Amino acid sequence: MSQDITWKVPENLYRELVWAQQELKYPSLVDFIVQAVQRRLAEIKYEAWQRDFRQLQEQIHVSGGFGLGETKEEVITNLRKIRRQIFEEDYAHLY
Amino acid sequence: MRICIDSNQFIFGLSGVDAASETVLKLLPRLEAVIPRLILKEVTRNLNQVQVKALYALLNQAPHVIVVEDPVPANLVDKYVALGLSEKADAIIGAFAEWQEVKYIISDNRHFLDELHGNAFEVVTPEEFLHRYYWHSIREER
Repeated sequence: MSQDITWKVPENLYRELVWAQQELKYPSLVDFIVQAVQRRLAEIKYEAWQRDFRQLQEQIHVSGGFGLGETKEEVITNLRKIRRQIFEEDYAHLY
Repeated sequence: MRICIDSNQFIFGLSGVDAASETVLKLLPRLEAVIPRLILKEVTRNLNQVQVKALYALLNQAPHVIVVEDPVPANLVDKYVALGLSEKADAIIGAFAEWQEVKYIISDNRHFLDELHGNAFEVVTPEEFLHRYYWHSIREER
């Protein structure tokens, strides 16, 4: 499915678009614009993901963190204990 | 380049206590990653419901990240116990990596880094991974 759109652009922007399309050897102006829009959309999604990631970091920080220890070694030791517990609870019967 | 991220990387990256782990997590939307349910259970055990939901939403929005629910084949788990991983819980992660054709497991767990050797994949620290990732990206651009 596709949707037709009519897009009026200032003359100087049009000239720049045509120049870029020819410079980058895109088969048509439409191909060039479609790819430019897709790239920008991907950037916007990536930026939104980064924002949501930072928000989750903040939430975790505000709620006191993971509570697994002060040092990296403590965290890893506690995670190993948790891994063992989860294995016993949920996976041991499979192996 | 398919990777698996160990639970300690999620903890360090989300806590912001390790810059390399944080960078690896921030790259997730651009990486191909498979994460076993076991690892996510470890990460989410000490999070509240809202935080768990937010973490799963992030993973779902990363286009090439897959959370694998299926159990790892038992014969592969036995193989990794025989290779030196004395604990089956660790052997599951090694077996998972081979089963899912992972190239790198990213972890800061020394135990893992020292004991987990397989021909199928490498266990690397986040720093090592980032070095290889950027080197690989630069090569691809050329």
